[in-house]
Amino acid sequence: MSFCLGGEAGKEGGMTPQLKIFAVLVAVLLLAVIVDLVRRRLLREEYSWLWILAGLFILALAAMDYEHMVEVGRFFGGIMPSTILYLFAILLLVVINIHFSVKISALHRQVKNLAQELALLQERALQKRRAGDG
Amino acid sequence: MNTGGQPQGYAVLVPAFEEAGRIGAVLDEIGAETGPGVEIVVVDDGSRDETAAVALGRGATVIRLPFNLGYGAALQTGYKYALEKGYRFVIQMDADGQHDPAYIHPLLDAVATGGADLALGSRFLGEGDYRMPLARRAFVRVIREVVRLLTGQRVTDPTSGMQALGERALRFYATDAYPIDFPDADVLLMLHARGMRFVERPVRMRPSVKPAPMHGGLRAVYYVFKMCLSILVVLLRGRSGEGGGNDSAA
Repeated sequence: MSFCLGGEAGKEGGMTPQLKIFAVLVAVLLLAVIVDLVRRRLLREEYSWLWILAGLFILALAAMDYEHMVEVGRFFGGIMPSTILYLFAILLLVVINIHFSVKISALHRQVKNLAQELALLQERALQKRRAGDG
Repeated sequence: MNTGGQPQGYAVLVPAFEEAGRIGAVLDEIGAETGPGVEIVVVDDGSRDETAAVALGRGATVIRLPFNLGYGAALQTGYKYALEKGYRFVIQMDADGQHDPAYIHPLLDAVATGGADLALGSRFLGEGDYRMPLARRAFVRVIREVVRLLTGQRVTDPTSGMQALGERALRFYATDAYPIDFPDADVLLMLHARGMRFVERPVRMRPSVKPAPMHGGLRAVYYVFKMCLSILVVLLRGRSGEGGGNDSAA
């Protein structure tokens, strides 16, 4: 596995100190941005919780020490610690997108019903007015 | 011309999108067939042309959706209106002149006195296969077989836009369970799962120059996917009916 990487990266299973620091920083930044968006009412809590969970999860993974990561890697048949990080980040993105699709489906249904009710209401009002004049 | 709200009678439902050129003639034809006492409901699906004005000029009831929602949603708007008005039967037709009003009464009779909940006007009854691309024809055959096996009924034209509905079908179609993107054979399976009966009657259709949305390449792929998934889901749901997320019935 590590034979395909040159230099320092090979010894740390792809998880160089630089990558670790970067991942931790990004995760912290993500959490800060999400919380701030919620604070400014630009993001609803119901959408934020999955992102916060994702951020915390990435943070935990990135901060995990090397030996534990190797153990996790073994569970998956010996993949590198950095691969684990990317794997879970992608999985989380998939889950978040499914969450959005579910929300969008509900919104679609609501919009349809609203548009129909609006059209029907206008007709109801028109017929009432006509009946009043007639 | 419109009386609106004849509780024992029926209404004609015509969903329309950008049909200002043709709908006038269509409404005249329908009116000639039904007589002046019958309400014709045009659902204008967000047309930007004069469709609504033309229909109003012919004395139709026009329900205008604020933006385009699609054929199924436009139909559903009409179903909701009909139920609100207390109609027991609805006959639906397309606004492009493809459907012949002469078949209005045979279809209505099938639901009014024939005991069916839904009567489909089929182009293909007794006429063999419509000219369709080979792959599409094969797929439609598969769909027909699935429907026949599951419901014991032969269906030759499940997507026919010319249909008569009885009250039970109307009530069901007004719920969120109705598939608004491609009402098709899967709806028939849903009807069957709720103990409703559908029949077919032969109708003749006139050729229309409408750009058949089913035949666009990508749409055709989506159609196949959608039908497979939809039928699978209907089978999985069995009699239990709708899934989550129903915040509006009729």
